[in-house]
Amino acid sequence: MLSDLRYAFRQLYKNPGFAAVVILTLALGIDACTAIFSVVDGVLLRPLDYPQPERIIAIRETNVPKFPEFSVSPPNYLDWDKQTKSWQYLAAYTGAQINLTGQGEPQRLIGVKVTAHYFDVYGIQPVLGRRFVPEEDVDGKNHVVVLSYPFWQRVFGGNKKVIGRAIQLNGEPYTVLGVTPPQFGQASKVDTWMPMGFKADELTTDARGGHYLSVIGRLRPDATLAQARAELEVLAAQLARHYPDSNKGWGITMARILDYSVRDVRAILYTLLAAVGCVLLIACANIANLLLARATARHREISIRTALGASRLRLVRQLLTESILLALAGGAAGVVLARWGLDLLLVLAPSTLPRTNDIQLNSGVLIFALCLSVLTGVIFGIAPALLGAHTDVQEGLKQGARGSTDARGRLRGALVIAEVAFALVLLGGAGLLARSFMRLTTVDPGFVPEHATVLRLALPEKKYEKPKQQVAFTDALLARLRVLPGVKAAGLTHSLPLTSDWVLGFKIAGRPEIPPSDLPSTNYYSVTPEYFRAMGIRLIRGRLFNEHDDAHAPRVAIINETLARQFFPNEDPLGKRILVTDGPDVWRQIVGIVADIKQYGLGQATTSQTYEPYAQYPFRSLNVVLRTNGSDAALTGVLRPAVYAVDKDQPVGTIQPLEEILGATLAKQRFAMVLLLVFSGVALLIAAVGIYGVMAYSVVQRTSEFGIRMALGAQRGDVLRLVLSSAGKLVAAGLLIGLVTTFVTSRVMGSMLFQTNAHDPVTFSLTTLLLAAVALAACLLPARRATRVNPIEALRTE
Amino acid sequence: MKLDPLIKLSHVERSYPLGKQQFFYVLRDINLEVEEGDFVSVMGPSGAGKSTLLHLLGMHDFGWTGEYYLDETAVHRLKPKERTQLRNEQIGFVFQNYNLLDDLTVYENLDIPLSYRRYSKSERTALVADTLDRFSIVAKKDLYPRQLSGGQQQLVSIARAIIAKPKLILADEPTGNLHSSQAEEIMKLFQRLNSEGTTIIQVTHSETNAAYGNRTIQLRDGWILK
Repeated sequence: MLSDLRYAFRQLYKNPGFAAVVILTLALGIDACTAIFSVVDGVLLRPLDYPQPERIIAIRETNVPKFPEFSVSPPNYLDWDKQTKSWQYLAAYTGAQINLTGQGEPQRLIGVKVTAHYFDVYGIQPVLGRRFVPEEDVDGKNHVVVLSYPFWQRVFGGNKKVIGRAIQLNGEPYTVLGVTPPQFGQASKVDTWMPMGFKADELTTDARGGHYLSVIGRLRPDATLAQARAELEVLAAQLARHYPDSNKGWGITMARILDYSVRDVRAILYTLLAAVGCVLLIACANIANLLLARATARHREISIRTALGASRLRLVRQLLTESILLALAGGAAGVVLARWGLDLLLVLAPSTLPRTNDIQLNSGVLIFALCLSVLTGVIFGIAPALLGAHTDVQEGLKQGARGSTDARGRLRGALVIAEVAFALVLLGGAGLLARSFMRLTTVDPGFVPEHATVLRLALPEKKYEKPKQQVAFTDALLARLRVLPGVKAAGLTHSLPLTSDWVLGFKIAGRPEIPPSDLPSTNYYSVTPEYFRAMGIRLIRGRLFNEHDDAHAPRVAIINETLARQFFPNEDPLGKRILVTDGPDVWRQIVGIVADIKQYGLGQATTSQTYEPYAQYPFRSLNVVLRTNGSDAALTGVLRPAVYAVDKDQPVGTIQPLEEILGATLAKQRFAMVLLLVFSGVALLIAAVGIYGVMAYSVVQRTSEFGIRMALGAQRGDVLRLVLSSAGKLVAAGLLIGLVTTFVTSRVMGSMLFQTNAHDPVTFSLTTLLLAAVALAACLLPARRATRVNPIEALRTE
Repeated sequence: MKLDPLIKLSHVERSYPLGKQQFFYVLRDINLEVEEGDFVSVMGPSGAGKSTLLHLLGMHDFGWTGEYYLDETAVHRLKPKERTQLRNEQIGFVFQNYNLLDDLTVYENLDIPLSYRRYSKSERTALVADTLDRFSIVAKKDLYPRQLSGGQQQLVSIARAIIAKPKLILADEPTGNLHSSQAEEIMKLFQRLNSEGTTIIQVTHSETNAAYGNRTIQLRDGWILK
């Protein structure tokens, strides 16, 4: 074995050009595979960094078909907690708007309100201080806070004396209890956790209809997921019987926390892994072709070895040793490249990709790369080795013998067919994603994302307790913003499309009474009059809100076209009254109909939408939208001072172009499409090189044949046709197999496509034509060379 | 008591199909006995079947008919794997164009037949050292074939052929590419090996070389001339 290895090294050293081509090809293939596998490993495969992570379960409510997955209401959660036995710990959490003051410039923080056993569910211990105790999860006693490690470092410089100190959050003192481990909560960049402390009105029967909690649980050691699911389903059915107004039709859905957190990216990542696997296989086919050509050149050497007593197994072993050595060298280079490849991937990755902190080239990934390299060496080496080791000694020992090429020629053809087929599968997939993405980008979002900037604020509860205070702040702020240079309109909403949603039931005056659980639902927005102009939402009929629609004016509402069409199909909605079930029980008159907007993203269905004047129903959560004349960048610097001018303690959250917010919703699709396009481009290139190589080799092999044909009167066109037709047969076979394979495999991409059939004939036709054209181009050069054969020279060579 | 010959061929034929029921015969009804210790020269014009006969004897060719006994073993009844084993045990080859492995040193070229025959490392080291010494090529052991003259390469090739102590050496035009003075040295070497007990069958066009042997077989169109 050592001598095989030594000889293999010598072969590489002796043929540096060949070795470099193979190693580089493999390095690119293994680089891509390793980088994508790092992402798959970090995101999908590696267990979460908690004790027994498989026992941590995410639980949500469901009301099919309206809401396949929905948040949980506090009373339902508390019933689950009290009445089930499968859980060691159950906890609920919800996002919280937190403003930090008293530590330099006011800051808006990402906070989470959690019930007492939240940290117990994850099984984590603070690195400093302690976790919450149940006594602190009570309204009025919950002014305590646990800090995230990065926040503690950033704001308090890692000072351990922060424990027990009071910090000002939302204008109130909170005692710091502990600091979490460095990575905990950082997927969502959480700064602080504070106890939920449900208020009394959150626990009433009426509150069962208010869904805004996320729930996680840790299974008892003796409980299974199936048992826990069955137990909760029974309980949900009981609750539906006891509280039909709020719970009828509601069930539960649950999944292991890892599966839950990666559900949106699983299909994309596995598709990408399959795609790079395809690229690597195409590269393997190319290298196998190179090795076959080389095996022909080494026919004499193999014959001598056979004559000297080498068994076929021994020869195969030696040839495979060379292949695996090449593959290992390629793998090592690939791993080095993968470091950059991975960085590039993470730059391209959507910001919603979970667990990015877990993505790294760790020992598991390196073992994968090692195994992949060895496997690759076997894949591209085995056929050439078997054929190379099967030699006619008598023939091979003759001077200048080239060896039998029949079997090798057939294998070469088969490899070209495989390359074309794989390349078409990749091109087809990329084509489908590109077509889907193009369709997605042409969808009208219902608003104008260009030249609009969004500024987020959260008014502290204590300081802005009363609606009047909230309206006074927003009036003053909008008045200041409106006069900033470049600002054409300034409006705000409490819930910005694409980033947050409020879903409420509603009633229409004069219609038969409907049980609360059966009420239709609408996306709800509390907006100022200029919001529609700032967003670029078109008025269809009626009027928009104006400054007269204040707290003292008659209550009014604006609905979107979808709501008008669905619920007022044969009547004019203008002048009709509706009641949205949140807040005061007030009927509102519909005064306008506006265009639909895409609340959940361009690829999602349009929902019914209702707007109310902010002045009539204000919120503390604010998303200010500024329509500008294009000077968004210049605006960023003056927005914070404008806010501080109204309230010097009011922190400003993110300032972001609306276009960027919309773009982020397409990031996942763009990520998949760009990578698949890159991979299929590489596949196309490798396949073209492969086809060229085989045809060029075949032309050299057939030089004398072409010479004879030309001596017998064949024209250049005849030879050209001869070469192209033999290549055409291979390519056609590859295209046929590729089409069938694409047809079968593209179904798995269905969930990733928007308004695009997974068997889209246009995409399939175009990609097939593209590949055929590239293959033809790759054949043309050798074919033209064949037409230039000098018959006399060719026959002399023979 | 007369011992059985080392090689016995009875009615051996080798043909290639030309079409339906049509064959081109390269060897016709070959009946041949070679005693242990013989030095046989096979002669004949090009295309007479000399090399085919040599490769048949060397068990590189399996497509023949008839009976072939080597050292009392019925080769015609052996499976390919058994033939390979028998070949490895009994036969060494010398070729006209030396057929040394270009990427191996002299030492490694001598070592490789032993490694294929599963000799242990220590046995291989001893045998290679002996052979290098015996052929006076110790100084050349780290050189590659391209660094040797033709005569030196053929010397290494013969050393490689005998290193595993075969009973029979098959040599195909062993001096075909050599200068006459080098050819003479090689033939003397064959004569010495033969005198030490090794049976040699060589294919040659040269009457001078054939004279080093004790017996000559003439082939014409696949037939042995009586």
